[in-house]
Amino acid sequence: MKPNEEVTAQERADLVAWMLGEAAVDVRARVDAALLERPALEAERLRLERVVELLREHARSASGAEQVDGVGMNALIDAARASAAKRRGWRRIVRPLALAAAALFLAGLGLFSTGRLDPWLGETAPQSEMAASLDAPADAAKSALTAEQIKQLWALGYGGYGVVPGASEPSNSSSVDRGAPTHKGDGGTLDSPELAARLAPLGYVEDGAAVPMSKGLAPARIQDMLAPFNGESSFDYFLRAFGSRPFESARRKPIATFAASVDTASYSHARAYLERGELPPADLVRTEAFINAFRGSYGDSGPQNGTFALHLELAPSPFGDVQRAPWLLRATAVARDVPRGERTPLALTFAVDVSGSMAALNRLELVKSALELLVEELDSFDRVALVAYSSVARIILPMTHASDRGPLLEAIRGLASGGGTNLEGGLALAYQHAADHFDPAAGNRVVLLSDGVGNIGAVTRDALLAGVGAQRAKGIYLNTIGVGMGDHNDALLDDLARTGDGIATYVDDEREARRAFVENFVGSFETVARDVKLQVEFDPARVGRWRLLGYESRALADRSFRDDSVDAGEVNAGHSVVALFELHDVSLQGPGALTTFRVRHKPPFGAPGADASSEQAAVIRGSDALSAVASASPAFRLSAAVAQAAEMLRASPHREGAHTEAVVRELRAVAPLLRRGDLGEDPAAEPLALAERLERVGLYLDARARRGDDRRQHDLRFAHWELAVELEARGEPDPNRIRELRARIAELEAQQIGAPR
Amino acid sequence: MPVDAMEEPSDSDLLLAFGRGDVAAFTALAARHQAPLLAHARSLVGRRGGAEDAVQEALLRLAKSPPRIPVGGGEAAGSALSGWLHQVLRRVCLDTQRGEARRRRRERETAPIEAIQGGQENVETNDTRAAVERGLERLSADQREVIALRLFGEKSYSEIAAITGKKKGTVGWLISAGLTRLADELNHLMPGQEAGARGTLR
Repeated sequence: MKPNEEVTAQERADLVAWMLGEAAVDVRARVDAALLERPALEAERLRLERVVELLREHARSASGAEQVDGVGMNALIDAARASAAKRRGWRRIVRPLALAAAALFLAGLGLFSTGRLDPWLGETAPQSEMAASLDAPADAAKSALTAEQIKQLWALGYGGYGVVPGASEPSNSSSVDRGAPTHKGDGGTLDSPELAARLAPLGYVEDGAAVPMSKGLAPARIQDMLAPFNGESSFDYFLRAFGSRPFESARRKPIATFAASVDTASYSHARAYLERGELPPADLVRTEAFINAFRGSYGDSGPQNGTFALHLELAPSPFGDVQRAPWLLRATAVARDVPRGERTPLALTFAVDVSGSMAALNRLELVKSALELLVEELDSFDRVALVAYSSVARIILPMTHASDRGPLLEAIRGLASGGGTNLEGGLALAYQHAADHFDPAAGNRVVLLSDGVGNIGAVTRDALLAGVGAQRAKGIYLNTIGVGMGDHNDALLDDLARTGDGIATYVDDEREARRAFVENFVGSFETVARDVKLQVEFDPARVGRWRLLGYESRALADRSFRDDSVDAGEVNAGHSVVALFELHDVSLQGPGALTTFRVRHKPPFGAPGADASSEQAAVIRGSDALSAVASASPAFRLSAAVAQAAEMLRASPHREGAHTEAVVRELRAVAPLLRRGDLGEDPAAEPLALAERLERVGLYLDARARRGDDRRQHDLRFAHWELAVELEARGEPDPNRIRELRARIAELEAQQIGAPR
Repeated sequence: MPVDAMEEPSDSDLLLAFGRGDVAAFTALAARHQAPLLAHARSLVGRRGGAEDAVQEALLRLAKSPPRIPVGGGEAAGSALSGWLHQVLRRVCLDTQRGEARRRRRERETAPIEAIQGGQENVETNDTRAAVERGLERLSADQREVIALRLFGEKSYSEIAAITGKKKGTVGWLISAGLTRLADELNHLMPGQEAGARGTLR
């Protein structure tokens, strides 16, 4: 860095951290040295310190008498008095209960997780004992339990006032999650023993401290790696597990096998950040979710008959390292659509949160109008029930045919809010009702509508998820709909839906409600294929290296493709699964298939021959390749641009030097070419909106892409993950592949950590 | 920290006392946390966007259902209640306010910044105040919030990360970008630029 060169944003950030006492030792040293050397930086220091001084001065003069009356102290004291009086009353009742519950809990935590004690059926208020002890004062628990036991209780977010910071949520926001213990691989102390205990077998923890990334990870059981830990945010979860896919040599590994994914949550989350003009955290961005989020705009044609239409398209890549003349292969499987008259009947039980907070911002009104919209979409063979919960749960409308519009609409319009949020009670009652009216010929589903679920302790959360999982096994699915939560997504709503094999949706206004309930809702329940697996095979004679974009978490061992016991993705009516491959060293000459694309799936539950898998295949020849990206289909170009945006946002190691401008230009060029969908929605709207959002953060995005994350870290993660997948798949592991992965891991671990700055 | 502050009961002591029904403990807690909360609320909703109401709502939630905070002292316990309050407050503000656009619209509709209380302060200081206020208004909502938390609330980067759900690195970037923007906005008050204003402020 030359003495008079302009101060960079990174230097400025370091400088500010240094000024505010937030800089680590190495940053301090760097700033100290740079200040001596560079007058420009010293001038910047003077300016910034002056700003800080002005702000501090401002704060001092702003604080003062005006505040106390401003916040209405009297009303607060009244509330405090009422609350204190109530608590004094409780204690007499709660103390014995709390002790019993705490003891029960310590002894029997395992019962819940092993499923010997089903908290869902048989008791209408299954969580009441647990709930009581949540409110128990600390001293009650203290007197009966040893210090060690209390510590355990705290660690699990349980008991009186004891909770480990970061392990419980004070509000509906999921933000606490992200402040959860450090286990991202950067070392540091874990403040939750439970987390430490769960992480230890995975090799993330030694002596209570997180293991630095540099030490690498022990291959873990797949199930352990797939499940987010208690209290772990989805950000941490994504980063922890999977890394990024590297380029593979087709000679050594000609086949890519992965499970279908139609989950687009990562895109919705990231979009919320971009709408605020902020970059989403890189770890949040999943390339496959971005690509699949635009399936409504692609206009790929569905099958004439059969379950899937397979498409392959190969053209020069509009992005990537020009020196290597990369190609892009787009493999698409489009599921058949189901005409309205032919779909499976639905038996929906709505669990509607009518607690006090639902009155704010017309949330309940939004729920009501959304439900009314939905009722209009249902057919006479569908059935609907309505459960409302606040402090208590009630059945507002028992299972009723959707053709009985009168009572249905009356029940919906009669919903009124007030009281607390007894999520457990609401869900339990809804499940019970759904089970009582279970229809084996229908899609049985509970739909939870809430504005977030607030203070749920760790145990309650696990019990909830276990309950939802048990119900799922009995054939009842769960969808969750977050209402009026702004850009806050709720980790628990996400987890509940994932466990219930449903979707978590968030609606903020009428327009979104219409989209979620009318345009996608009914169709999205219609599963047309289960355990959908995809496999792409390259001819090693003509393809040098390949890289699959995204689908890290969906990796499967090649031999699992025809193993029908392997759980893979579900695909719903009219949905498509799109995978992009970047290819290097491609030769188009020669006969036969350049690439073969196979899809294997099972029919949905209840269909004839539900357990028989079927397989389809398509091939592309060298002569099918397009000579220029401009002659590729709009769908090809759109998915390429969206994938590029995702790769930049996640600081993919393969995207050094990418430019926002190129992505924005391509999005705008392709948008007018997109075919209007059947539902009449504008296919260009979302691509154009994405272009605009990207443009706003362009400067930062370019910087992130320039940086590109430490490739070693991404590669190492994925290699560990792939090794675990390979080792655990049923059947004989491929010894060559395992040797190769082990060698790759050893090599990566031997490398120096990070490049010098 | 002033010496007598060492003698004051900790947040968790007060919470415990309030848990046992001591209303005075609550009053002490509310008084202690009010000022930083108000600064935070103002950064989110502006001076006229109901910042006081939001703080009241957050404290009301503390009154109605006190959070569970580790018993005893320690660094973590010290900031736990504060972090909880700021998170609740943030949620209240975002719920009632929802978005920069609406805030801007409202501000356009309302009168310019009111005259500051206390007529004894000289005009120059008032001008500086107004300029700082204006500068803060021009920051992005995220920048304003993290700067308020850091400089008005004296929260660390980590605490701010926990409160706002952002990464610690992002917090640093936002603060740095915001301060730089402010330096540009307040260029006339920067070293070497200001005529005599600095003397009167000191």
